[in-house]
Amino acid sequence: MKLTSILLLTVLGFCAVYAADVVDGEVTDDAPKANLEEDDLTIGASPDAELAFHFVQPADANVLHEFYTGKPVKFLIGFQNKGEKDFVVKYSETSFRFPTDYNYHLQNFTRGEYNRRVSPKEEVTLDYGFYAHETFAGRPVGLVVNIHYQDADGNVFVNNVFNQTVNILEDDSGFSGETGFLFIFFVALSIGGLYLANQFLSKLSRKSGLSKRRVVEQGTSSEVDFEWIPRDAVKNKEKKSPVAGSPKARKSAKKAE
Amino acid sequence: MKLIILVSAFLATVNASARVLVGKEFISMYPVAQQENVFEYQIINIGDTAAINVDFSDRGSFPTDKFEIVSGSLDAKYAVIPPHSSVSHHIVVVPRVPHAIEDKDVLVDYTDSESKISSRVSTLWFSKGRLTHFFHQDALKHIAGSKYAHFFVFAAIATPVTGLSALLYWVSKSRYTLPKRN
Repeated sequence: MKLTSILLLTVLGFCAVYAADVVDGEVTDDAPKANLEEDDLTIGASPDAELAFHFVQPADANVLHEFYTGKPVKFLIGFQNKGEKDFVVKYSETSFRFPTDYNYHLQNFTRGEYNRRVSPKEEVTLDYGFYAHETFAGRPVGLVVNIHYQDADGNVFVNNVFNQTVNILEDDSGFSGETGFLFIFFVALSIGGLYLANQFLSKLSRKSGLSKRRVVEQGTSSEVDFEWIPRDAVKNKEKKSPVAGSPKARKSAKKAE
Repeated sequence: MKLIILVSAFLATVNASARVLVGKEFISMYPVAQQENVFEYQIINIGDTAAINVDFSDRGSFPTDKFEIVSGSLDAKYAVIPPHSSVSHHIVVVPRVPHAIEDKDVLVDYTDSESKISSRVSTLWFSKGRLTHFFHQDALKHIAGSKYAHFFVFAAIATPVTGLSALLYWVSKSRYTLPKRN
């Protein structure tokens, strides 16, 4: 029983050691080197250097492997010198690769120059940051981060600290000009459509007589504008007006005179 | 057989230890002298065991003759940082004069809770280089402030367009407006 439990613990312990997450932990020498370039195949990692990698921004990048375009991506690289000689960490190189062919470079970021001397038993933390361009939005890319360093004897080493496919997402947190003006355009279009519909419907109702307006006579106003009337007609109006009444009444009035 | 299994069990747990990374970031908009500048530090334990007796120090980056510490402390102590967790620390400083300051290492001493091995980690603040330049306030206004030339250019562009529109409106209004009659 005791032997069985110890055996079980051993198996679990081996599983925990050799299934360590490369991203959020220490990078072992068993990291696959198949995706390195041909020049780097002849240069490997030093057994006296222990490296670690951790994303700082975005905060959930260590788990989700998702970046947003236009927002900074920052990570820390831990370098621990376990040997007896000095190391000089020269630079880090970060690049986007084609997800199905890591030998094809999509973008090479600016080299991060450190030139930092690390004494024996010393640990240093290096950082780097970059922006993912919007042209990569909505597609997966391979992110590769390599650290180049050399020891006191001049031997050059390269250690791959990150080598995974990440998703580049479009940042839709801010105001989008395209969406905003599209919304305004549709609002204007709908108002114009409503106006035209109203015009069309009012024409229809006038033709069919459905909504005939009842004209109510209000009488004429006492003020008359004589400006448009020719002056001769106005003068004639000033003459004596005929006697009111029917023609028969006018004849009898005339005879009486 | 028992010995082999015990040795295997011991080897299986030997790599579990605390591992601390330190990050430093300038989170104000611009580094300006005689104004508040905020720095953020992140102390991250990516190891499998807790880090205890964590001592943080960035005293070398901010000499007191050149900086005034407004908020926060250049030294900090944390009793324990659990595995796979982080703590953040902020410092607000006011540079007394505008000048370039050489960045010094941030030092963090910690002890592994399991093996009791003490380690020191330092950071090289790459993202800003080895010098941080604190600008004079006038230089900042020149970089980020509004300029008189911009207003003159805007007036030169906007005035003809606006004036022409107003002139055409006035001409039309004066020509076609009927006088009011009482």
